[in-house]
Amino acid sequence: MKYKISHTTRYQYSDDTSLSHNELFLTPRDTQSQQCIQSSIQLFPSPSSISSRLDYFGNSVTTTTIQSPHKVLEISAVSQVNITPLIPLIPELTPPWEEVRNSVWNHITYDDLDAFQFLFASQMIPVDQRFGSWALDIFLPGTPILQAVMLLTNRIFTEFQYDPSATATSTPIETAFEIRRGVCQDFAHIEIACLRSLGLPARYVSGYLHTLPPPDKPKLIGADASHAWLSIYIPNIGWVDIDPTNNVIPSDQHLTLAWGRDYSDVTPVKGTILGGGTHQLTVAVDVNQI
Amino acid sequence: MEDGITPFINFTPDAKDPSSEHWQTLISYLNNIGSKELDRRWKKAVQIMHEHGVAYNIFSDKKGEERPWQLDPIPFPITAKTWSYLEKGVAQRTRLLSAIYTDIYGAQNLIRNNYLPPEFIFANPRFLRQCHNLYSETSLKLHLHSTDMCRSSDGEWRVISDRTQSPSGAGYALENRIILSRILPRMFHSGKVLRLAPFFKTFTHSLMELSRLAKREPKIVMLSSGPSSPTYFEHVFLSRYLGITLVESSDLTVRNDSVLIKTLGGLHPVDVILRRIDDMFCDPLIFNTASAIGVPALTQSIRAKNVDLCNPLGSGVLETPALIPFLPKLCRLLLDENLLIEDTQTLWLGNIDALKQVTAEIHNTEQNPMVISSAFATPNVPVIDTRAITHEEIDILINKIQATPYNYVAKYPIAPSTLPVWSGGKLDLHCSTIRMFSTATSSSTVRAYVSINGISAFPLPTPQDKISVMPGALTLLSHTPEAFLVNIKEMQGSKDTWCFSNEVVEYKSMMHRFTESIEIHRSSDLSSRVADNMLWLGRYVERTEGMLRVIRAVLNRLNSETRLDMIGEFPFLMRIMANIDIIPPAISEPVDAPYSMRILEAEIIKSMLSDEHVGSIKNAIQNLKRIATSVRDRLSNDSWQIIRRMENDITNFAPHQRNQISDAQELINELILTMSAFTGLMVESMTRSMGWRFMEMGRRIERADYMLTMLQTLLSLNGKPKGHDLEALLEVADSTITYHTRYRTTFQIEPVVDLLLLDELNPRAVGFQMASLFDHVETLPRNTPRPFRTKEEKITLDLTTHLRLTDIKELMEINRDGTIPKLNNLIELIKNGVQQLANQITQHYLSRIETEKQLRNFFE
Repeated sequence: MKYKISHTTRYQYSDDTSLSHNELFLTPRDTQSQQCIQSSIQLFPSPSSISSRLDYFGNSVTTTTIQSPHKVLEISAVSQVNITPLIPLIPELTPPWEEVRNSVWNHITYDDLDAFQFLFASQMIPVDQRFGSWALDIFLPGTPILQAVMLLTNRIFTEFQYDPSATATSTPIETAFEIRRGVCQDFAHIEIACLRSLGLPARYVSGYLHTLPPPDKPKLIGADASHAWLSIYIPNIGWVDIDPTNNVIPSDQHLTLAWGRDYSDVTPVKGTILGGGTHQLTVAVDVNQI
Repeated sequence: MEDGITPFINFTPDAKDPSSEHWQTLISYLNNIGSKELDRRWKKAVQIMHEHGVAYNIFSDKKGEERPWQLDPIPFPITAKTWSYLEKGVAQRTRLLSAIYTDIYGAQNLIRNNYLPPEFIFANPRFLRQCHNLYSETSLKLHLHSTDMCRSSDGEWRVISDRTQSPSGAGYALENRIILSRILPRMFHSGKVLRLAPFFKTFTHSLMELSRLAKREPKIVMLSSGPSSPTYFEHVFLSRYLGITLVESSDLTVRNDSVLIKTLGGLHPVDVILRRIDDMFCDPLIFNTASAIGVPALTQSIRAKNVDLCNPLGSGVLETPALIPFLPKLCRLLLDENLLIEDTQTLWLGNIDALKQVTAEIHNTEQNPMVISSAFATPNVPVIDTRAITHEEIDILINKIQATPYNYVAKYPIAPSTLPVWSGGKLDLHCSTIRMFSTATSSSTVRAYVSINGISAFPLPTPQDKISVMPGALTLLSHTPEAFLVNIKEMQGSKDTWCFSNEVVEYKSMMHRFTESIEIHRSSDLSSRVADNMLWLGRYVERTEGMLRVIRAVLNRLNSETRLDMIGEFPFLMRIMANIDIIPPAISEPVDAPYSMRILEAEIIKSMLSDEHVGSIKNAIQNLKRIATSVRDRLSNDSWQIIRRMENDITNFAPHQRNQISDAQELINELILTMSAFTGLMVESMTRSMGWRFMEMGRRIERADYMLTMLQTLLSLNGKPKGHDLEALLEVADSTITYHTRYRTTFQIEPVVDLLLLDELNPRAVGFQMASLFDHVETLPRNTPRPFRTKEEKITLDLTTHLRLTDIKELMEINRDGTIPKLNNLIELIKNGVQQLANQITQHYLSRIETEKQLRNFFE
């Protein structure tokens, strides 16, 4: 399955901005099931410097500087990816969750050691018993890991309400957990918090979701959005994605940009400006099958 | 620790049986001086410290509160043998920590091969993933590293902690030395005490060497978080001593992946930054801090090798206590040496055996007192001394630890040895720690191949850095032994530390830096932020003086025999008070009622002392002090003293209830005198640098504006101004004597306007201000070639010419209704012009000081 992604971020300032530094996580990475065929990032006005490198987690990060005065900043990333869905796992056949926990804590293999780093508190996700105990009745002794995680995903899906007005990036995850509302980033953070509090590694995945319009309507341009989900680790198998917002195990509709410990590691677009007054932000994302 | 035992551990405070030669010499010398003389010298030293403004403002968030630095007159002598041991030990630590840094932010072989637990980086908020592979060098050095140590009561030296981001204290140690060498000059000049100056020379050299561009004269700056920093005094002192520019975040900007300093003459590249801010605050673009300090995209400039940071970004990870238990093993692995100075016993609770031991022993606080704290020095984890809490609280603590044991360490406190301290005419014993400093200079990396269990081999960095250790230390004192592990804020004072040599020491000094002009040689190098502050310093000085003069005129009349309604000029003075916002207009002009003495008294006192009233004298002086603090490094000690005195005077002013007015009168007189001392110093003692020019421009702008406001007030009175109004105006304008020597007549409006508006010889006149503003503006750095005048030159030239071409007779034509329209128009024109000039200067030279801010993010 081949997709074209176009992601445009536009900042409009009330005053001139004379200097703008940005850090962008907008280049899709290669994964077990995804191959990035082509990707380019363009800025308007054009940057005086632009460079890309791989970050600590292997994501491609682009750093840019614009030094000419501007009132509008437009960042557009266009990419093509190819997805080859993996053979779905049978949840009942995955190892018991305690076995996963013990294996990672002992981190004999490099893969286990690599997974170990996704087990601790990070900037936006605390390790706190209140998350662990909320999931404890699902993680009964001996329950296969994927089975338990799917139950937890279902619990978040049913008990939480999708509400874009309820949270912002600055809202602590505890608040979203309390009010049982939020958006995909909140749900991913909450599920990660539950798993880490139980001693299980989980990482945050930033990407896009390919959506189809209702059968009799045309697809609207810019109607898609950035999406976020999480990934759990199973020794000898690897990382398995899971999407609490849609209660599914991603297959060929989820396109991966980057992963990290939480949103702050892989924020798609962030920056600092000099001047500019107040600003307005509009984002348009299109994901189309080609 | 065979070499480390110092022979004076059994020191007794009565000094009858000193077990050390040095103490013996010292004590007999002190006895010779006698307590009276020591006290006299000591008081002198306190005065020196006060004058230098030596302070450590721990509670910097509280309004202007600073704690004076406390220094004990008795130094702490360290024998040549002990010094040699400590020097080796500290240097070894610097090499060790540098090697650990290089591995953690590079190959991470220590983690992969279990020499360090992976939790040490994975769970450690001070491990900054953004710094991984940031430096391509094979080995990195700590250019300034400090180690806190104490001597336990059994004579062994133990390390308490290391500072590897931006260690503070070296400047205080130097200041202590300067003061002590004044109190005990003969003792000090005996010739065997090692000097501190060579260390600072090496350190400066190390910074120059740091510049990877290998420039002959790299631009080095010290990046401070500003006057709110607890150690701001040290930033000012050290930057001056080392001869490097002190900057704040808003002075720097990143363009084309290079760090530039914003100066009046434009943007100039910076090669090396000696930072006094922590890792997380260095780059708001990368580290998601919504903080105002830091330089966005600094990390990118480091990566592009255009700038270097001392110490390297991410070095905070080395300060985390979880590292301590692993140091002996790492020292043998990386340096092939035994760790020379051991740490205080520390257990990392992420280790299962350590956790078991602590849970078993923690309740027995008598026998096994311990301090539980964050393994990663995170500020939100409290430091808990088990002796200070109940058994129930210990149980709760244990439960908390067991949830995430890797987040905690347990330290077994040691009993630190005590030192004699001079306290109110006698000797007391206080606990002590010392902070020693080291700097790494050249390095050549040797790669060692280490085999593990004889199977795999991997390269590890073993830097053969040349390390210099400061032959001295900052000795910190406290009343209780707990203070060292619990709270640095409980430190009770400091000592100078004398490391002795077996040979006579050669005299070297860097003190000439203080006698040289501190202004930067090319005047356009002045940073825009400093220029802006100097401009406002000038404005606040002038504004405060103007306010004081008006209030004095009013107080003089309130305190006179004459009834207020009999004083003709009183309404005029009250209107000036209202126009310059000292009192509300309703008070200045009561409708259909005579002035109420009671209300006026209350209002005037309020106008002086109120915290809430923005226009009060107290607020004016506090603003003045605040702005003076931010340019503290540009002001002489005398000027600084004067500002402090004014602030003390106004803060401590408590007028007697029955005598309010005359008490206030006295204070105002005092303040005006003090203020003239300050402005006198500005004229007489300040280098005619760009900073001085900006301050002068500020004063001239404010003074012109003030005079124009008074003239406008005069013209706003009904009918032709009367003689008493003119006299009052000359009084507040400090021009009475000039008027009398010139005219010897009654007061008439024409000569008064000439003297206060047009005259270029009267330093109070608007014409004088314009002429000197024109001079200043002409010397400002310019980008346009000479033949073209800058905008601000055009404005001042225009205003000066307007005043010069004015014909006083024509100007003073009076309408039938008593108004003087041409004069009114001219005043308005000049007033607008001055405002325009102030804006233009800000726009042209100072607008760069705006700080960069973060773009808002949101979940899409």
